[in-house]
Amino acid sequence: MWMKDLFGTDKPVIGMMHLMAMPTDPKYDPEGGMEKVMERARHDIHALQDGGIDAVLFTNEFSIPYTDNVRPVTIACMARIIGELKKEIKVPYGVNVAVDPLKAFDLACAVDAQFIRGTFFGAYASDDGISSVPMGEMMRHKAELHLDDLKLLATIVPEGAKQIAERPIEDVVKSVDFAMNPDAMLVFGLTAGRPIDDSLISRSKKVTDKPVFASNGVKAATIEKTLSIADGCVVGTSLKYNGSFYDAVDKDRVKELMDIARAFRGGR
Amino acid sequence: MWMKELFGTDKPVIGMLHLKALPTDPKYDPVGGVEAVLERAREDLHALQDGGIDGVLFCNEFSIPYVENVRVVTIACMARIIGELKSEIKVPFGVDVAMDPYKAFDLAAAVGASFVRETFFGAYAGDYGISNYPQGEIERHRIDVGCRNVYTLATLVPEGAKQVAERPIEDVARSVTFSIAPSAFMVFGNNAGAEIDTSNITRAKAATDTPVFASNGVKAHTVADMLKISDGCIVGTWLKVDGKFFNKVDKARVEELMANAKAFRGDL
Repeated sequence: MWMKDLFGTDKPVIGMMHLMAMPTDPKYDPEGGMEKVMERARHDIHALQDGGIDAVLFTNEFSIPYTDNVRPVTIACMARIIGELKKEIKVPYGVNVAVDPLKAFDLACAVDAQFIRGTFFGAYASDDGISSVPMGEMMRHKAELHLDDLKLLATIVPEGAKQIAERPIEDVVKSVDFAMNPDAMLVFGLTAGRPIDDSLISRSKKVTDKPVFASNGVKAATIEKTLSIADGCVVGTSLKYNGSFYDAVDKDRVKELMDIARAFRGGR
Repeated sequence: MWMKELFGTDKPVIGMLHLKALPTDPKYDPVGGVEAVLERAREDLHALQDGGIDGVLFCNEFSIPYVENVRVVTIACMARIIGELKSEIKVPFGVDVAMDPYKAFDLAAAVGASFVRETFFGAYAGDYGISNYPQGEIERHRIDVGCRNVYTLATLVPEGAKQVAERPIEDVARSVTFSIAPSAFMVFGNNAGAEIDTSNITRAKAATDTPVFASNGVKAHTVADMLKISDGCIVGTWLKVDGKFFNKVDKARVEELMANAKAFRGDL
């Protein structure tokens, strides 16, 4: 499996690198400026790595509320941060741009990311309105940027959104597997930090050989159960101080969660 | 004058850091990838700094032929490269995104550049077709992304283009000083490395108090004469090995040119 090659384990635990709000984001702090965003990112990457995380995923998390027309300055800021941290990154890293997959490919290309997480297909409605993600355009842009080796972690059940024309998850998995062939599929819960519906993972796994990840809501108390049904997971909120979304990453919480994950994986 | 504070001299010599072609640029080398662009940039940066340059200007020079709608991946790559080199940059630095002033400010905001060189106003026709730079929109974008304190090096006489409706350079310098008050005006020759018409500098200087730079075509044997009539200059092609546009920067040529500049300034 590709995960073993990239992450050194068949059931990776990927830690979120939630970047603070950047210029033009509603919550941006012009006083602190980009240096403050940079310093928090530096703190978080070391907390995640020192706590034993398998990989990290950079995202513009605090661009919330998100837009599907992400500003170029956001991508430039993310690229600068990753570039400046590059020497300190010791684990595989990926990128996620909420919610603009075309620009996520631009960023992945610029920083030589090994994987990307995003919504690469589908038609959804949510608090953010209607979103249409034309798969053919996404894959053309990826090819245009020569991103042949980039691993694609594709959302099949989105966060806080529904398909506009609901099809059973099994059908979606099968048709997407056929048309786009992602490297892994991701199941989300309602919002960051909320548990997901485990049955969506097991239903997906029945109809594809592709790995299926739990993409949010994972905690130390539940990681064993999650890894017993899923092929990997992405963890963010529960690794923060007090498990609170806007806080910095707490190395001790990372270590607690990773110790349980490693014990479950047989010590690796 | 702001130049003294930023560069430590009233008549700065800024060296071009010409980046190799980036993803989606016609001359991009996907085999070498962004890593190869980064390595050349690192060599050029050290050659410029070790040769005694006053400041450096990062530019997507080998995106040539340029577009007005610069791709997001281009500024993401530039941001990653500048981020990754940041700890090695020892002189003030600026950015130039040929030829998209909006994305130049995006990049400047992301990397904390001290200055931006660009075309910020006017209507031109030339090899690139018709170019329209609405100064009100561009100035608004500058403030939106947080570049209020970034110095603006504004093209007064463009490269390889003419004003669509020709007005005397004195009138342009006066009306633009009134409306956006750029930090300095740039006078270009016809193309990179080509001599400029020095009367354009003296005429612009006679019309306003805004500093005027020679923005290309400067050589070791002309730098003293150029600094005599202008307030600074930007040098690229002449500093390359054999004075060739596509070559890397030659530290010995930087030293030779800077020795002449410093002798003229009396700061040897």
